[in-house]
This record gives sequence, C-alpha cells and structure tokens, in this order.
Amino acid sequence: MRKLSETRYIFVTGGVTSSLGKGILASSLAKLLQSRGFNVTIQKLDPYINIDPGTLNPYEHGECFVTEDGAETDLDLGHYERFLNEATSQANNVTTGRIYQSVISKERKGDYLGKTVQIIPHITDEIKRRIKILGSKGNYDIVITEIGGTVGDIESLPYIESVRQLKWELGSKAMVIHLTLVPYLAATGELKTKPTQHSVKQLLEEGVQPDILVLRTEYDIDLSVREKVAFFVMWQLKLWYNRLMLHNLRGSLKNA
Amino acid sequence: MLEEKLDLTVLKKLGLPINDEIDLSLWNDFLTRLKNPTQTIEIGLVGKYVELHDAYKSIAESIVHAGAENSCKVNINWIHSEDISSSNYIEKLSNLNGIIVAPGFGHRGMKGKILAARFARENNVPYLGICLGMQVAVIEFARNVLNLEDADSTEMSPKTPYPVIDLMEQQKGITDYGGTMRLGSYECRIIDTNSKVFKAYNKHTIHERHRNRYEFNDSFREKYIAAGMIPVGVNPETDLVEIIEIPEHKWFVGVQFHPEYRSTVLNPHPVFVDFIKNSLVQ
Repeated sequence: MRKLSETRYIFVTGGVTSSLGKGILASSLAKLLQSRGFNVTIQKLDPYINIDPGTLNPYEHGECFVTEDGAETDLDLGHYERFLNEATSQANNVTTGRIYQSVISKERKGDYLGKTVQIIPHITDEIKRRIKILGSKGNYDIVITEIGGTVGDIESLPYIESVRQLKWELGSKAMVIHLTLVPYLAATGELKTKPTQHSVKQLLEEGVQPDILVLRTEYDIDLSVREKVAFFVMWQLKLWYNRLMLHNLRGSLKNA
Repeated sequence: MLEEKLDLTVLKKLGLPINDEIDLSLWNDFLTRLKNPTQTIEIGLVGKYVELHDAYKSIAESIVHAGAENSCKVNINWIHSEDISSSNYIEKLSNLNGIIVAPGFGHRGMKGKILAARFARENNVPYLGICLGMQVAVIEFARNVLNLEDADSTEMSPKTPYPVIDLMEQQKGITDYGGTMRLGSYECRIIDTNSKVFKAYNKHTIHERHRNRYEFNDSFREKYIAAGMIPVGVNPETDLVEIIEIPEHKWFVGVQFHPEYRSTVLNPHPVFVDFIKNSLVQ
C-alpha cells in the first residue's frame, strides 16, 4: 500500500539515439527508491501503432514478455519485474495503438458528444489517464514512466506533450529525467556534448525542461564537460551523472 | 548510481523524506554469489532467434539467477536450431552440461530442436523444454520411442497421422493473431509427488504464465505413460497437460508454460534452479 498521500511521477525520456539504456536507468532508480522503503512501479509507453508487441517479430523487438494478467508486453517489463521482484500488468505497458484504439472506440460510442476528436486534448488526455491509472490504484508512492523512442521523433510528440501538461498539473510531484549520449571522438580525443545540447534543446522546444540529465559516455566526464553542458542547456547547474554512474549501475545491477 | 546519489537527488526534487536506510542486503547477497562461482557449466540454448539474444531475454536472465543460486557460472551456448542437423548434432551438443529448447512458433528449425531433444534424452543430459520446447520433446518421443512415424504437431503438419500436439479446443475458430492465444497466469496441479518438479517447487498447486495455442493431445496420454514419459502437471479445470517428465532420465522436464517470466533476482525460479543444479558437474 501507498505510504504517501499522493503519488509522485518520474518521467524518463531519451535523446540522441535509442538503446541508450532508459529501461536499465528506470529499473535501477526504481530499485534504489524501493530499497529506501517506497512502493515503486515502472511503466513503459511505446510509441508504435501495434496494439501490443504480441505480433511483432522477435528479431525486431526482442522477446514478448507476458504478465500475470495475460498482457503481451515489451521486454522491458521483464527487467522491471526482475529488478523490483513485483508483478506488472497491462497498465504498465501502453502503446500508441492502444491509445488510439480506446479514443476511436469512445468516439464511436459518442462519448465526445459531437466534438472534433484531436491529438490535443483527446489523445493527450488518454495518455495522461493511462499514466495516472497506476497512481490512482493507491498502491504506489512513485510511478516511473519510461517514454519509448527518442525525443524529436514524430511518434513521441503526443507523449512529450502529455508530460508537459502533467508537469504543469502536478507541479513538484512530477519530474523529468533525460538520458543522452556523450560520444567520444577518437580523432580529437574529445567527449562531444553537441548531441546532448541539441537533444535538450529539442525537449525545451517541446515545452519540457528536464530536471536531471543522465549522460551516457564511454569515458569519465570531468567537471569542464559538465559545466559546458550546464552552460548550454540548463539554467542552473544541477547534478550530473556520468559513465561512472552507468558503469556502477551495470556493475552492481547487471544481469538482473 | 548509488555512489552518485541519484536516488537522493530524485527524492529531494520530489520533496520526499529521506529517512529510511537503504537496504540492499538481499540484492548484494545475490551479487556476491554471482561474482564468486565455484564452477562453470555450459548450457545450450536452442532456438531460431538466437542471433538476437534479447529474443530470449527472460530465459537468459533466469539462467543467471539460477546459476547464482547454485554458486555456478553458466555459459550460455546460443545454438541456432537451423544449424543442427543429423550429421552434426552429436558434435554440436556433446560439450553441453544441459540443454534448453526455447519457445517459438512455426516449423522453421523444428528438425534441429527435435535432434537436440533426442540427444538430451538418449545421453542422459539434463533437458528443459519450454513451451514449444516441451512440444518438441513430446514429438521426438513419439517418433523415436513410440515409433509413431511422422508424429507431429498440427501446427507444423496439419495432416500428420499422429497429432501428438494439437490446437486447443478453445482456439479453434479463432482467425486473428493478435492477443488471441492462451495468455497469462493459470493454475497447474502437480499430480505426481515423486516428480522432479514437485521436489523443485515443493508445492501441489502452482501458478505459471502461458502463451500458447497448441497443447499435448490427451488421446495419446496412456501410450506416453506406458513408455515412460509422464504428464506430471495438469490444469485442474481443463486437465490440459502442462508438465511432462521422463522419470528414468537424470532430469528431463518439459513445461507448457513459461517459467522464465516469473524468475526474479530475489526469487530465482525453482524449475531453472533445479535444472542448473542437476546440470552441475558432480
């Protein structure tokens, strides 16, 4: 059961490329928060139009994970369950296909009372409803919602917009963690922050300011790189997580 | 991540209290066992999507959990089912301490999977067949022990004379592919208390997750029992066979459900733990 009077929401977005490890980041953070006594769950929003990954080719999308309640879901839900030692459900995995399916079926039933059905507010409202379902059950102190895909994709726009609205509605009860890549150029021997700058700029254009940046790199990030990123993308110097973090996270939470 | 205090930053940002001491002791116990194995074994994972390891993510992780539980490092040998042929299967499989045949659909790679089951059965190598992997073991047993030539699943050959695996009654007439399988958690009763799975679970009633359309064809049950492949777990409502075993074999188990979906770091799955335990080099 929930200990806090109201559920807190953490959104994890990704920039620059996919496969940076948003799922591992979300799972590890959830594990740490759980270890501090909070009831935590993780949700994955997948911006594809399939209703679920049940019919997807495993070559494209990896394993299809099946939950207790019989939902065919993204393999990341397997990570969540293995890390948190807690069952997930259909509500923990939402796809664009599922969102549109429910909006269109509501429209057919006449639920929108003759209104023009649009991405904003109807699709975004449905996304927000799905995000808040887990919190409204009263079981969780913290819901971590991982937004699949990469910021800037057409597919993920309605999700980022929903995050923007939720941050506005929930105030300090919601926050955004943005994961990006800081590549290393061997020719010049430098860590490059430009992709991160562009990715955060993209997120800002869409109306969302990240509260925490997690930088994934192959090498340790020194203070000058951190300051540079701070100067270009954030108004305040916040906390920084570098390879060390991902390294430790992989080292200590790997294979789990 | 713990060192960089990401969790504390998040809690501060959300205005949440930071009073509980962090308790990762069980987690760290797991890591200690994981990092200090006392032996190494080779497990073959036979499937048709092995090029992409993520296609078998939960199985691979379950093996890691079970390995740590047995203080054993497990090297997974990813074996493409289409690479196994009757001319090379002995050479390909003989270095393995145990064999898993993975879940899957369709006829591609069936031949190789059947050879893997045969090799495990004939050479007393521990075998875990999951979903299609169980069905493969049933088909192999029909062809080579019961001498039912061309026995098969109706999924692979609809006109087989011996449909030892057949479409579930409830699945007949379904034409859509999406979300129409038997999905999610179902009860299973272990009816044979001498079985390996009963010793592994130490329970009569278990709940496991499913994702299948085809099942063991019950009309062959007596033939199998007489020849030494025993249905040891059934669904209490429908009597569908969920677990088969060969009691004479060191460890030969086929499960229609997916134990890999329920294995976690803190609760390694008993079927995987027992499979690895029996694959250890004594």
